[in-house]
Amino acid sequence: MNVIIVGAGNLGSALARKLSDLGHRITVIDKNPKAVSLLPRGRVNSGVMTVIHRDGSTGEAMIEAGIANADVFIAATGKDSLNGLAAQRAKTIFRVEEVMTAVKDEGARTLYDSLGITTINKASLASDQLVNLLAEEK
Amino acid sequence: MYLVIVGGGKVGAPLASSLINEGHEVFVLDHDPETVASLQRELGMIATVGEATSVRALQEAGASRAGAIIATTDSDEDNLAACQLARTNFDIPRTISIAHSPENAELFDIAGVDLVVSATDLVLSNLATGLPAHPLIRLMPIADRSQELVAIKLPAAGTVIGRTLSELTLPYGTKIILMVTSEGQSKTPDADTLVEEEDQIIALSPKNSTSELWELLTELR
Repeated sequence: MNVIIVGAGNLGSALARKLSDLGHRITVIDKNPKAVSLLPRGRVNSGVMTVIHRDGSTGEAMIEAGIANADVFIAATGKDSLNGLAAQRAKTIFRVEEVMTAVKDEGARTLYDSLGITTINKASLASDQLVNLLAEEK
Repeated sequence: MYLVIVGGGKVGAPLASSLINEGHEVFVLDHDPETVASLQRELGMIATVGEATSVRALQEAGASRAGAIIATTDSDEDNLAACQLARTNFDIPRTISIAHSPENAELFDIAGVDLVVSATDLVLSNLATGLPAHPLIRLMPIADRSQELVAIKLPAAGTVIGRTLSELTLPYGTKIILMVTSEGQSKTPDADTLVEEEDQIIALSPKNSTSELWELLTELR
């Protein structure tokens, strides 16, 4: 599957690595040029993992990341509200099938649940819930 | 009405002050302690330090009894989240937000924010108003942003001059609302109204037809 991940911090990089291990094609968007440090070095820009340095919440960055052909979009920056905005753009404007957003504030989960956006956090990564979810869809 | 404003900065502070003068009860949430302190000095205990996007902070600001939330922070994502969290968690009847980028203004509309104020549109239309003889001014977006109110100044040697409104083939959905002559006299438009040199035409236009309307009205002989 084609997976777009916004945010190459701890969560985003761990997701990129895990999903890449499973054979998915990954595009990571992070505006910080130094943000690639946590990504698996050998895979970046080798055809299986692409990195784009832009603000991943904008439509332009999403288009550059190939959102028209994306099966999964994951907003995984450290900022809940930015993740929420990016996820909603991916869902409502670009109609990506599976959209996930990282949420730290538990109070925000209801909101994204009601929008059909899957909420994730570090715990869901650890429990492999996310990887299972994507594996099922495959 | 009890109103919650998130963001007490350049927009939020004067807004709070004017709403209080109009008799509303206002509470401001801002993450910056200095901004809050300055609001409290000027307007009393109507502000507290808190994150706009925290459900808890919104609750403490009284979102559950507010008639509306107005999001005025510098961050589009925080404005959207504040409005949506207030709606989902507290059933707030009306959500109002600034959107700084035009593409976010569109997204906010789709996401169900009741009133979206697009900062870019506002600045652009105001700048255009200040330019003498600027031919097309976008006055304001209407409803869901699919239509807009525009003002178009007719050139002296235009092909439409001397004709009546019924003789013009306006783009589908366009409605001419008002015409103002170069002397400032207003004409209520009907089928027989004569189009004259340098008239200003105010029209409600479907957004994707505005350029067609502009071309029709400013085409030169």
